[in-house]
Amino acid sequence: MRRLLTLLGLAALAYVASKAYLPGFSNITGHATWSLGFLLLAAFTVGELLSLIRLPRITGYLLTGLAFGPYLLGFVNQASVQSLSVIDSLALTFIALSAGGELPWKDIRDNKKTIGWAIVGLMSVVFLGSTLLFLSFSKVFAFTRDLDLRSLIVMAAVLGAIATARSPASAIAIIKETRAHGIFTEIVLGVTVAMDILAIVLFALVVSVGQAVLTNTGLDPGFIIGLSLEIFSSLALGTALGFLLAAWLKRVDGYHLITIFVFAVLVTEASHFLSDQLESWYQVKFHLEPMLICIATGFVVRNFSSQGARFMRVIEDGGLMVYTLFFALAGAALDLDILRSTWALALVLVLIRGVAIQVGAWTGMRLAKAPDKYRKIFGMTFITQAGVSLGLAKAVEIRFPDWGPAVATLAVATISINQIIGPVLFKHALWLAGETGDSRKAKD
Amino acid sequence: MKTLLALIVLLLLALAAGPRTHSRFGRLSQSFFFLGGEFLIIGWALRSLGILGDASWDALRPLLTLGLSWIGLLLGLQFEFRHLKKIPLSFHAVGLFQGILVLVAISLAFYPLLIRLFGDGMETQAASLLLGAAAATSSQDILALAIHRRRRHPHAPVHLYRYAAAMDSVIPVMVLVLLFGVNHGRSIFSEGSPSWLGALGWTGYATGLGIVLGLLFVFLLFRLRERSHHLLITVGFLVFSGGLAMALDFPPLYVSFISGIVLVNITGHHNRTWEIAVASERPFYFILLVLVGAGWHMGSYWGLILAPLFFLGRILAKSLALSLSGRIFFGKQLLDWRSGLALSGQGATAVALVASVQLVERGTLADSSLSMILVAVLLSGLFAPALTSEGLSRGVRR
Repeated sequence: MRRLLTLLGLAALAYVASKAYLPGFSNITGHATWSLGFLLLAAFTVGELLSLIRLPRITGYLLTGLAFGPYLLGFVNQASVQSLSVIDSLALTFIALSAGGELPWKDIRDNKKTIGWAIVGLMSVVFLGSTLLFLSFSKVFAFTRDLDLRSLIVMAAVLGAIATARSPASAIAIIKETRAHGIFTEIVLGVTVAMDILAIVLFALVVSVGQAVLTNTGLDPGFIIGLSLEIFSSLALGTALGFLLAAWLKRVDGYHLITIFVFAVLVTEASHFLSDQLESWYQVKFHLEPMLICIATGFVVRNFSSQGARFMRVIEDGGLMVYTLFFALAGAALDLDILRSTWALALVLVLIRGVAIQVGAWTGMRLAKAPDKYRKIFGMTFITQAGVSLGLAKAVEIRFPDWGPAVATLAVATISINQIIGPVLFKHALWLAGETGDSRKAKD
Repeated sequence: MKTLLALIVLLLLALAAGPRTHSRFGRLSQSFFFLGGEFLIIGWALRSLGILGDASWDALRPLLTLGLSWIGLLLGLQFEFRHLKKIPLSFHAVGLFQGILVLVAISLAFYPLLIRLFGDGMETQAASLLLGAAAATSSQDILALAIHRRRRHPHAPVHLYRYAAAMDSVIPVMVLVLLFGVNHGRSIFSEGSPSWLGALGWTGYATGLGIVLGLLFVFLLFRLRERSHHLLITVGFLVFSGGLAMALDFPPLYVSFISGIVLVNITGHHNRTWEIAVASERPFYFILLVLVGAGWHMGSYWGLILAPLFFLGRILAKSLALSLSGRIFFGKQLLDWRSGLALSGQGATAVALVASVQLVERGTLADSSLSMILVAVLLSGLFAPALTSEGLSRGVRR
């Protein structure tokens, strides 16, 4: 009741502020600023409310953004969401640092066989399964009926590649929220982070081959070499920065949370700056990937320095704030107009992907000879999609101008649905595995 | 974005180099660095070099708003009535009265000067009031530093000084909200039909908003156990209240000051909030200093010429005001006339006052007045610790 009253109070103030029009700088500054604070406070409150009925908090964060964002109540307007998008990239790199830090080397080594087979099962079955299922359903969809077979195959493969991407951010947020701990959690996290990297590689390969097929030109080996170089450079740079960050944390007392935020911004901005400069000076397209850099940095600080525990404590302190804001903003940015026009089609794609994930996860776990319990629930942890998937969808729009926009719209709608249902399934799976804080307590 | 990158690199350098370089300087500059004076200059240099232009500064306004809310909350949290009741009434009176005396003295002294230089009008009244309000504040940091250095000061009424330094921060906050209210915050220094009576009404609205937000803060903090939850609610609240205040044209400093008073007086959960606010105070203050420095427009050269006069006039006024207040409220000449030097430092509240005006105002008179205050803050970082020490050594007349 108290939380509900707090939410009402917050909403009432936000409503007044959204309706007040006072021209000038102070109003422009004020609107973006209170929107940011409002999203943090309201999302946290809704998350608390949902946790009472055992739903994941991040679902609450997403729903808050969705409800108060530009497409429903409109308290937080489009301009504010746009100006706050800077925070998105900062949050993503912070989450990547956290993701790297959440991967204990010892546990990965101990479960390498299971993780390896799970990746093989998921990547192959989800990619091939989604591609084939989409192809077989293609006559049902109006926008694919007039396409020739080659275009259809490329489109299906692109959608299949996007289907393999999932959201490490939501995985970490739910693991933190539920205080989950155990072999199942470690495997899920290891597979999630690895698949995030592999999904980008697979997507790049599919796009490259697809363009070669559609334009009747040969495959450009330079593209593949360039991509491998980018990934390798990002990971190497991240490793070096990991040692530097660890040294900094050791030498400088205090302000560690601010240091880590500054580090996240620095990595993001420096990567983009370098890419822009290389392109404008030497016409070379070379993109260092800030998320990969930060995953490697977090991994090194956690596992190969004496500052691992301190680093994780700092990440823990700031993590909640970052996740709350990141998912609330993601909710506010969800384009409901797209969802309204494509929801039926998107639902079919969600089902196709869901079936493929379930089969892939089951196959992977069986190949790894994992316990029976894991085989049944493993797939439930891979439904959520967010940042990377949206990025890939956006890339389709640019790379395939003929049918790309339609596919991107469909992909965004699918990702939106997965974003809402995924966390619920993930939390349930962790509970079924008996690795959440609550289930451990119940067992004891 | 390049601007943001440059800012972060400079901040990192300053944070990393700061603690190491301090020890290489003498005592004079140590205090300057301790109080973060170099960040004000870094900000100013960034602007002068064209790295942090007006557009970037405008984009960074939310950070400035957050910093102001942070300072306002910290000020408000110091006003716990349960503790205030334990302090003798004469201390309340001396603390407040010396501040008011300085406000009146400096405002009256500079008003004719400003009329001569910039012409008469509502904006000149506002500027002289602003100078008076900035002069009335005392730096709690400089006082704490001087007390720490002079561990033994048998004749100094340290509690009175500490209390007066906390109490006189109320004056600039009140003056600020009145100034915002004169033209409903639209333009403090502009001509038009300003109304001081309307300003009182506006102050009432701002107080109402502060109380409502304070109550909301109490509700949000209720039954929170984990530190990360407290951190989220505190940061979220400060951003929300600061932004809301700006959107509705109230000074964020005042609104969060009122919220802080509400929080500290109706809940027992403020200790953790205080802890979080204090733990992150310095980096936020330093960022605020960089931004204030970057938004520093010199205005007329008269501002720079008058700045040392303002600095000296303020020290003289502070010194005499405390002694005179003591004489009035303690019934005899208890305090040495130089004891007021203990309140000669100027710091966070003066900077917050400048930042609040920077958020809404630009113009020759405004810029010149703000220049005078900022130069005085820099001079204060250099000289006030020694003067404060002198004040502490005088203390009570024997």
